[in-house]
Amino acid sequence: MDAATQATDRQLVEQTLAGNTEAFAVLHRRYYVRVYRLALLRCQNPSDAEDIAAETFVRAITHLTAYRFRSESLFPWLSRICTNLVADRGRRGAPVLSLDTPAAGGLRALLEGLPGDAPDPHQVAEQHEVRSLVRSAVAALPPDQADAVVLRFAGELSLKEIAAALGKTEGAVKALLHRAMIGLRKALLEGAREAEVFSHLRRNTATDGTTHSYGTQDYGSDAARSRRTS
Amino acid sequence: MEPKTTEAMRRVLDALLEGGPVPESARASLSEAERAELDALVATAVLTRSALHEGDPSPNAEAASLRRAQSLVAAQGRAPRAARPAARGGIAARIARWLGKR
Repeated sequence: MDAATQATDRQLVEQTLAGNTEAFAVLHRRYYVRVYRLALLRCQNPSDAEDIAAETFVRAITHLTAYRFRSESLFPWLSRICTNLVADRGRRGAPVLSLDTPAAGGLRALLEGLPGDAPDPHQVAEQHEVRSLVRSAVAALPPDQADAVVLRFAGELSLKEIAAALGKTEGAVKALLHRAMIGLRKALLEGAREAEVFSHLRRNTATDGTTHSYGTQDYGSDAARSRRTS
Repeated sequence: MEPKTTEAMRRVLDALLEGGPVPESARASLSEAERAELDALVATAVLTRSALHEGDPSPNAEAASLRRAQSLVAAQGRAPRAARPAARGGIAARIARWLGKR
């Protein structure tokens, strides 16, 4: 491993400002995938996410002289640029994908916390639909909670670094993350239960030939309400 | 309404959020309902981490982004310092510019 790869973000920024293109390449390699995934989380479209990730780095270079480190990582700043770019484009998350019945059942069993019969979370997380549902739920969190979740789970920052990046205390960051986990669990459980109900209705419609008048609006769940009002 | 978090539960959650192991004594002090709640929150965290690590950009997109970024860095390195915001001079230069306009 060469010296540039081991250099801190602060050192690499200083070298970049001196015109060292290789220093910025190290930063790009360090953060591009994380920025892309953040863009994908926000806009749900791979092509748009690639454009936004590239634009994030261009904007970072343009404003690098004015940047002041608040934590040792450049990621919080890149994530703010990325989030602003998504907002500028006016992109919203795609609708939540429907889960098939086994995926919904596994997710519900996992998150209801029932002793004994819960599946392995890593196996549940392997399912593409579940991951899409999780990303939609993260994107729907209140902005401060979503920021903390992204920095912790996508950026892999420590609580101390997140606190510095967000200008909050570590205690406040813990509280944000805790509330976020509770909110995510609730949203995912609702998504799983709705998917099971719809699947049940589809099966009934297929077998008895009648058309049921139930739509999303009839369930009155928080998730359905929030989608209707958004 | 959010469920009330007990002190024992809060200690365990703090340990988890910090990424460290949960002390067995702390876990043992949880009620059965709290342990179930804890397992569900841990599972939520596993799902979240996994979902946020999914999705890889195409190698072409990454390479194009890098080329674009590096050419910009190189162009900025060639630009005269006076054109960059950080090199616009201190207070003396600003006073001189202001006097020059009068």
